[in-house]
Amino acid sequence: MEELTALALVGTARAGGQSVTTGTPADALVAALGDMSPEQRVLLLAGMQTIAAQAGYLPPIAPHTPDPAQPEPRPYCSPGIAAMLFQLCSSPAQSEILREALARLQGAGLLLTPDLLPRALATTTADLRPLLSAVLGERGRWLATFNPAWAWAVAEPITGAGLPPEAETIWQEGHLLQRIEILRRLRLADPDLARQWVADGWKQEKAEARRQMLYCFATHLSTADEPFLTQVLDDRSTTVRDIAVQHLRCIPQSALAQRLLVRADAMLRIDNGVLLVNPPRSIDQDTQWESDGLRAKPPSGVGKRAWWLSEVLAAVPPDHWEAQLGGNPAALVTLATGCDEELALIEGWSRAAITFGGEGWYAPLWQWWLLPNHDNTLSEVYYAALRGELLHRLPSDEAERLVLDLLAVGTPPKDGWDDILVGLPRPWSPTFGNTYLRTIREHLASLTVTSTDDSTWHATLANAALALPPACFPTALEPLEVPELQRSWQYHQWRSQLAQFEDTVRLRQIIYKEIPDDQR
Amino acid sequence: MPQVLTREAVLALAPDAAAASAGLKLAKPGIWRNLGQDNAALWGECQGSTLYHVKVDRASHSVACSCPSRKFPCKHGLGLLLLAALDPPSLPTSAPPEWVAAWLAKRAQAQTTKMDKPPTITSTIPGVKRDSKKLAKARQGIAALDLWLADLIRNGLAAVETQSAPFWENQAKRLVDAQTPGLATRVRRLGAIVGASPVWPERLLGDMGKLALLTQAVARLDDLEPALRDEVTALLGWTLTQDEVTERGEVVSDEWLILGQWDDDSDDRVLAQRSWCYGLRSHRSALVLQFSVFGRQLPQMIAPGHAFHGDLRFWPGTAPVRARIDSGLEDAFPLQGVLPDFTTVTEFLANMAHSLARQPWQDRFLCRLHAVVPICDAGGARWLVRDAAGLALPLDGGQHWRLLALSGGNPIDFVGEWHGAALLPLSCSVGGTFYRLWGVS
Repeated sequence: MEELTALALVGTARAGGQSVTTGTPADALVAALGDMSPEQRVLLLAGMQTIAAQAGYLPPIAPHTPDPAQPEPRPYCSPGIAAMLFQLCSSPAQSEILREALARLQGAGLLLTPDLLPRALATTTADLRPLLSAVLGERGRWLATFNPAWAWAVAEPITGAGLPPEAETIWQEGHLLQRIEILRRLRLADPDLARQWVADGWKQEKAEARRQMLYCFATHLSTADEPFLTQVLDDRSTTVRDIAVQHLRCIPQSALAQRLLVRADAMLRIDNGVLLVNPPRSIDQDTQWESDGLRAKPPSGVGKRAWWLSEVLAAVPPDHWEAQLGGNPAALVTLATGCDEELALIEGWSRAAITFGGEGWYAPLWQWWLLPNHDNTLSEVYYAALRGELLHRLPSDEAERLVLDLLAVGTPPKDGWDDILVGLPRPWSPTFGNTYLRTIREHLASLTVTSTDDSTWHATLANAALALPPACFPTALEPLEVPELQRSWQYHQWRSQLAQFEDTVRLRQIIYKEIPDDQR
Repeated sequence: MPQVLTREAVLALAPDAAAASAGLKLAKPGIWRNLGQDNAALWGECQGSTLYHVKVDRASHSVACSCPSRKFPCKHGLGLLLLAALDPPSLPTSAPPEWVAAWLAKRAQAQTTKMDKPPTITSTIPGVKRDSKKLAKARQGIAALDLWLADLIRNGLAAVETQSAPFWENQAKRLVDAQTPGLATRVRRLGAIVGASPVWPERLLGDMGKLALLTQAVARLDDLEPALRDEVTALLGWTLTQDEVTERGEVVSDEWLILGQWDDDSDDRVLAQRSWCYGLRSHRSALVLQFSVFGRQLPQMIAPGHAFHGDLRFWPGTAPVRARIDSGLEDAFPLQGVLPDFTTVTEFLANMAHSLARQPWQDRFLCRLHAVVPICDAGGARWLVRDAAGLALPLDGGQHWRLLALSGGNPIDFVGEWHGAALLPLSCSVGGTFYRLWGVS
């Protein structure tokens, strides 16, 4: 065939009439066809050679086959769940349900079926990876060795509690996921050694690794960590610096924390039962303002002094005020109302309560935010988020009680129910779940053809579907009728939200039914 | 009662993923009214923005719905079928309502009208019927093609590298005008070879040579034996009518396994669904083709991983491969257990060689390999399957992670389509369970 190709490339015109033969039976066949031009002969011989080559295809010798995967220590999940997970893996909108399903799988000691593995490994959401890692099984890890993009899955997750004997090797050579897990456990057992390890390799680490490692310092934070953290204040990455500042603020005896206290006490005093608020006129003298992690420039719409006040308040643990000003949090909040700088005070205290924790502060602050006493519409979303965080930190039953009281009052909060309910810790208690479902049903029953529904109840359905406990599923799936409303877009809103609600609850019901409870 | 489709089979019917998930959402008894079934049909009414009437003919699984959707089958049809699959008691057996009965009656009438038509008389050369002008025109076009090919060889293939697309397209158009569309497709493919790989001159010459052999065959059309004549005319693009196939094609009754399927959309206008079947007792491979234009529903529901007892009618030829399913498909049942008659690489290549000897212009073959291990080389750049003897066949470009995951390094039974240099994976069987590979990622 090579000779023929060479001839054809040059062209028979130039090759000058050499007779073409291949030395195979094809020559005789072509000759038997009679007289023909050299071109014809070339074509026919080439055709025959090609077909012969096809028929005589020589398969390559295979490269060495890899060792097969190890047998699985745990059983696979059922095909029903596998089919559902297949769909969930590819729709990012349902990642919450996927998370729940994977966590339950892990608890039940089940693994993903091999069918699902490529899709599971291809997940790009980084925070799903620890959950997936636990249910990949031997085959998942075996499969991951073939694709460099799946390197995160190759390593076995560290099981059991405490430090494994090869902890140091894993720290030196493992994938980031594993190293962080080792660090987390070491920090629980021996915080100083953990700090030592981190400090040794600090300069070579990438920003993401530094961030995750520093985050682990939150456990057993002590003054011994202060020198290292002060050093980290000069880090290249903003996020890393922010975490260092945060940690230093939480160490009461650190220099940074002390400076903040000094600033704070200068701004806020109590005199004869009245709060005296005195933010500085200028911070030019204060050279360490920004290096201590405080922001100098206020956002638009906020005054400079009010901003500086709230920044400093946010950086100081709220229980300091209980000692300094005397009185419990609820009393202090009441004192604050009526001041000129009321908003800045409450905002600062709210942020402090969220950062440092403060048991008695959450409820009074949350209730303050519910009242229509702040009308800075530019920051509505931000304030709603603050409020949600405060509610979230309350213990479940206390939070639910507060919301139930609010529900009983009857008037809708000015920002809508969905903001409120989102802050509640999940899962809800069955009592709360049932109250919620009853409220929705009553609300729908109260609507008629002529009413316009200005409430935001339909917007709460999406969150509720994820927050309802399994005990409430049967009630949740009872059909709900929406009357045709005057504004048809509202009617369609309700219909679509209800449909989605039902789908999500049904999916979760399958998850709870098909995956058995935690066996551990 | 005829077989009810499984959930997987219904989902395979869906024209795209959006329709499939919409269909799943509609598979709840709550939103349907007047559900029912009998031996001939399933029906129900679904509330969308108006009340849609949905009916399914059980014999052919064809769906009729009054919604304006352009997809076939629409999500309402899929929902009804899924409901029948997942929750059979929700469709009570009852007498069909008037709108279903009328529809079924109309369909039955259309069917009998088709069968009452007498078969058309054909001349000995199929596709030509009584029109010798067609053959004469074709011969003219082919003569021109011969000259064109000879010119290329005379001037040298090196000159062809600089030719632009119209060079090949014009010759193809001339062949279409000469009523030989099959040759036109081959010429277009020639154009695609130039510069496509380092060995393009050899490949181009080879395909030109095969084309020349075909034109030689046409020149001697009357001297060929009838079976070979059928093959050659089919290659020219002269299709047989369904009646001609009924009259002249060979019928094989057997238990047929539907082993693999893929959709060829290389032609812009027409989607060709290629389904490979294998007969257990006759050991025959068969390719069933169905064509879909603009996403219209295909007439038959052929689902890989199922088997049926029925008749296949093959197109006449020396190496009959193309077939149509004449009966038995509506009672298809899922495949279970180990698949018989799967071969080693050597056996497959030998069978392929024998088939090529009977019809040399074939380029696609069903490949059933027993106990092969998929191999992933170079981080996913190179894929092969290796049999117990150590011989391997390359898999076509693309990622085959699911195949690798299902095998886990253990031998599996593999079904693919061999394209001359690589295998297109279609399905596999692992531990008695059948998995579809093509089209599922």
